[in-house]
Amino acid sequence: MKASRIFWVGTIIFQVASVALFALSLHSIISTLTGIQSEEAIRISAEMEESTGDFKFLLEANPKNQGFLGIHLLLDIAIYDAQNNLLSRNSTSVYLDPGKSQHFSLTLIIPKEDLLQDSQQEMRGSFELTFDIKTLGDLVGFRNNMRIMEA
Amino acid sequence: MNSKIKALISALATFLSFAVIPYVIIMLIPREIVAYLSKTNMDFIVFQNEIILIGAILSVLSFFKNFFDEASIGYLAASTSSNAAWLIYIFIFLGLGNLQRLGMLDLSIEFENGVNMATIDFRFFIYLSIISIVLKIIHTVLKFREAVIEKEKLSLTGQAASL
Repeated sequence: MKASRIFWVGTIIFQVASVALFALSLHSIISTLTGIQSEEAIRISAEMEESTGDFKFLLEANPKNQGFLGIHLLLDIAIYDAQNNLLSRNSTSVYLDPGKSQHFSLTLIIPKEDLLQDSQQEMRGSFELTFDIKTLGDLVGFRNNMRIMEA
Repeated sequence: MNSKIKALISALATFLSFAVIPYVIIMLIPREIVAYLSKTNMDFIVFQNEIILIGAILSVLSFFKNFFDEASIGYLAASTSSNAAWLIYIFIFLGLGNLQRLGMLDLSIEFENGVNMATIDFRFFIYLSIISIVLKIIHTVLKFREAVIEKEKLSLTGQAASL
């Protein structure tokens, strides 16, 4: 067999493997992303703790990896005041095997002192949610950062 | 098959597969999604035009690649150019129309009370496609060299027979 023929076969195998990896990575990212954005996957609640007066913000997530490759998922939440000063931030990351889901929660506590003292004034600030999905040994990724002003 | 007909069929198949079909697929994307993505820094019209342009270039190069004899410099030039054009096609595709992004896409969209920013990292596939194109160029050179050696052998055999 000619050297060029052997090289051609090797190149075709490499190209097919590359396309397959691209399709698998894209599928893993898209399926996890659509899963995260469903109502059941992420629940956000906020409440004032009566005993301390602190503001407690809870994010509960139950993401499922519906793809064929394992994924690393990082979730980060932050709250800023009206002057864009960071009040509180928390993040966590999980590794999800294909087809598996994992429950986790993130809590943000804004101390009573950081809350506006004037009860007549509406509390204003912004909320930031970031999720970072990495797959294929963290070589391929998708990062979404959403910031809601005056939340 | 006549090399001209073979080259023409190859060019037409390339144009259909890599210019017309992707163009039609982009056109079939629901208007709501197009309208949503148009609010980001992505330009669908530019993306469509680039796809059709590079698809046309690929089909012309495919014609010449199949038209020239494998032992000719023309074949080597057309084939190498075709491989380079393929790399540009992949860059455009992974950059959603923006060649300079090199697989790192930043899309941001502003809504009433905030902003949503998405970053897609496909750089790994850019590296894979570069390796793939280098392999294809090496293959082209090997094929060209083998064709030249083959041609020389045939010419020597012909000369020996005539003696």
